[in-house]
Amino acid sequence: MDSIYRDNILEHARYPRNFGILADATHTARLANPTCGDVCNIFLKIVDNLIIEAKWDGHGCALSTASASLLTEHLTQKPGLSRASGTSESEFLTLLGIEPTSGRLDCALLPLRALNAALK
Amino acid sequence: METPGSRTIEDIKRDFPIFRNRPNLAYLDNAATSQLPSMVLEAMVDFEVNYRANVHRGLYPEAELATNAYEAARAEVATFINAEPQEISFTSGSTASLQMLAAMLSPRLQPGDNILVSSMEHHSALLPFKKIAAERASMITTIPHDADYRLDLATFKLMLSQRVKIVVITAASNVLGTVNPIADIVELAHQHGALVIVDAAQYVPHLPLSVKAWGADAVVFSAHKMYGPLGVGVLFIEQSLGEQLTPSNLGGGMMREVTSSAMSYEDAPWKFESGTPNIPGVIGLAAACRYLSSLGWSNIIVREEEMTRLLIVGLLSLGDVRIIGSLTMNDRLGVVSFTVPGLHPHDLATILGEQGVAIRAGHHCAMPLTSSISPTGVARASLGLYTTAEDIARFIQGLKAARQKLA
Repeated sequence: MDSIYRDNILEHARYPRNFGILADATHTARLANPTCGDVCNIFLKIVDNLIIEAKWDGHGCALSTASASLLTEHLTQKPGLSRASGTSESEFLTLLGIEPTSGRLDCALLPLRALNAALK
Repeated sequence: METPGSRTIEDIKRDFPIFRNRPNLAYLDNAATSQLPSMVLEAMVDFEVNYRANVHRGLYPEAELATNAYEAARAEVATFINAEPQEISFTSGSTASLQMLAAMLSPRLQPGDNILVSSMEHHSALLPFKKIAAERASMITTIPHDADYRLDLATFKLMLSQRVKIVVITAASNVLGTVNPIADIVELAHQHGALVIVDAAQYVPHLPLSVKAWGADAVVFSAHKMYGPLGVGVLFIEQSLGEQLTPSNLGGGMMREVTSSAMSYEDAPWKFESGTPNIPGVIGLAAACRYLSSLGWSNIIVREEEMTRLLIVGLLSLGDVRIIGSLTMNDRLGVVSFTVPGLHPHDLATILGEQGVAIRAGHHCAMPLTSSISPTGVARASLGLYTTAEDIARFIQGLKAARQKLA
């Protein structure tokens, strides 16, 4: 059985990127998963319909933490990513490089769902 | 029936086909559901392939056999919990049993009446009674637990009054493993005229149950947590209460007479069983009762206590693990919840699962309790008949590995 706790997931869980609040965020959203206590706040700075900066804070399991870290890294490594281009759930799972079991899918997708809520 | 020491743990494990098919499975999620022994499966298959027919209706030999087996199962289950057959109704599980009880007792509540529930109730026991309390402008009040995760009996006594109409209490907590003193609770509640409803879902696989010794008015449990099939459960209602209650679920099989203007119900327990019951499930449940009885309760208790001790000591050996439950062995089941600082229970359970160790993580359908302990819930290991010292060693090893991986 392949572990979902691959080295890059564990590394991002230990040292999450873009963790913190974005004071001049133009778009934010907070999403929580009450069944496991995970919380993800997404902060975006969008200028001329382009995502300039992305940060997150919150708390959760290793999977949702790594997922938020990788998501915001993805958004900020391509500065100027169009907000309209969006990211689908399957694209995001490819980015994570793991196949979470059905029981852990909500953990992995919480940050993406927070992002989509912020973009609405 | 009791043959102390005659069957080894290896013999018992061989009774469960899943451990042949998955030899590396350390199954420690018995509080969620237990595994199924061959003899239970065989009893169910025997019905399906030899005399499958509906009960209480047909006049041909197969229907006769099915009805006889179904009613014999009722008698066996009654004997198993020291009840009378007419006090035993079959439902789809504890959840359904509790919903029915709440619906049938609701008309008795007056505005300002009180329902007492313990702090350790499962949602299935809590929510239906919260609902009827709201509908009838009644109150619902929580009996707290103390620092050792045991029911606070002193506060319970203070809470009792003539306004308390119903007490809902779990016989054993699915989170804490605490076994509650049901006979004492019933005695106190009855002094104030309150009915006592007992959720015995966690209790019944681990300890012998006598509803007469408890004196409870109603007791519920599910087959699938006691080595029986999924989708079938028991609703015990003490005879005189059963005679008074009007059924909440109506349909076929429970009416004596229906005319265009009137209807009359069958007697208990049949009036509580509307529609075609889960016949193979009931037959399987009776087989599970036989299986447990054949092992002998004293053997089960001694073995499970030994394994619970190993489990608790193993967890304590990790140093930073917090056990959510009593560390004393009295009145405690091998249902052991814990948290590890800095580690999310879902990560622990997933990593253990990847190593073939099945535990549960989350809120265990007891959110008022678990969220007061930790917003992320708790991890839980729970034992069964077939749990070995090796299973527990693998669990502790797996926890160490998880801690290393995630630290």
